[in-house]
Amino acid sequence: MSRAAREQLFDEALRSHAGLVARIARTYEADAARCEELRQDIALALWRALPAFRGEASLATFVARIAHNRGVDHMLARQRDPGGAALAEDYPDPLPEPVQRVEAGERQARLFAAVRELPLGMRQVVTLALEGFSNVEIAGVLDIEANAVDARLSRARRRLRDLLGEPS
Amino acid sequence: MSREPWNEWKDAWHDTPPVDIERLRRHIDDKRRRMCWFAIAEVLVSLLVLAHLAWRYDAVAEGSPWRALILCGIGLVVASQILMLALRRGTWRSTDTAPADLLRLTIRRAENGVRLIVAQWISFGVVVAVFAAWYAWVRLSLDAAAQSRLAHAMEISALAQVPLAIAFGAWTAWYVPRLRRRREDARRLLADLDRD
Repeated sequence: MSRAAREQLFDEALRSHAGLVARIARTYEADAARCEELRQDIALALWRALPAFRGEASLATFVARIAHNRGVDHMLARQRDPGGAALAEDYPDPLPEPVQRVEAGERQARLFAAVRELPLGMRQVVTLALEGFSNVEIAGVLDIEANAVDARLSRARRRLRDLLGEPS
Repeated sequence: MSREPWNEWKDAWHDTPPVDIERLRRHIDDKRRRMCWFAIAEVLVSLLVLAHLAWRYDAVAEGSPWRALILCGIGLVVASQILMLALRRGTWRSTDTAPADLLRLTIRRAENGVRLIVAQWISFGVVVAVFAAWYAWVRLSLDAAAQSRLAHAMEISALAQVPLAIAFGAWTAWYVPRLRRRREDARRLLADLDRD
């Protein structure tokens, strides 16, 4: 892959999937400043890994895999409980109305905190499902069987419902 | 289960603020530049050390045992530089493997890291033993004048290694538990991957 093609693909990946990277990073790190660092690490890892991208799968699944791997590396580097510092989130919210903003922000913070509480296997599956990937794509990203995705996702949903206190 | 909570979660999930891509791109470019300068500086330092060793090699009389030591030094510098480049390449290459493979690789790397350090201490022990035997031979076999000259040079050389050995010992004491902790964390996460 030429340098120019790599730069172009990197730009495309950032413009199309920066949100995906940001959300995956947030499932590995609650602290806003560290999360920003993790986002940068993921982007850098993506740039490094792009020559390996052959276009066999979508760019989104490639980005998701890199993001999860860097997230796992981040957990190892911090050597602490991945669910820790769950209340330290400090993210700006885009909604205009103050009450709605607070409610939506709280709902979202609770959801991300609950996702971080899940065991790693469930967390990765549920993150990708919430992103809108199909089970086959999730299986491709995580290199597991599609029926394992089904089973894991169904358990993860139940666990999430419990963590969020949602009625069955 | 009802689909409603899932759809609500999905809405909340995607309702995140937009990412400032230009800012992110600037940070990445800065990091890339820093990494590039760091790698260049590292290679330059290695080249300087190699040039110095080559100059010392040339300055030492032919047939002197110091030439063998200088050659060892040159080999060590080249090997460390190759090892550093391979480690960096390996670290980045692993980014597009499956998460479980990445964790297995992390466990293997941590185990190999500990083995490498143990191997380094064993080679250090061998070097000390060879040096001690050589020193004993110098003391016992050579005439007084030659003995005094060579033995003195060897003592200075051995003393110069003491701070390095202490520093390496301290680094080992700090780094090996860290590697073991990383290995255990990776094992725990690997188990976590399959936990339901």
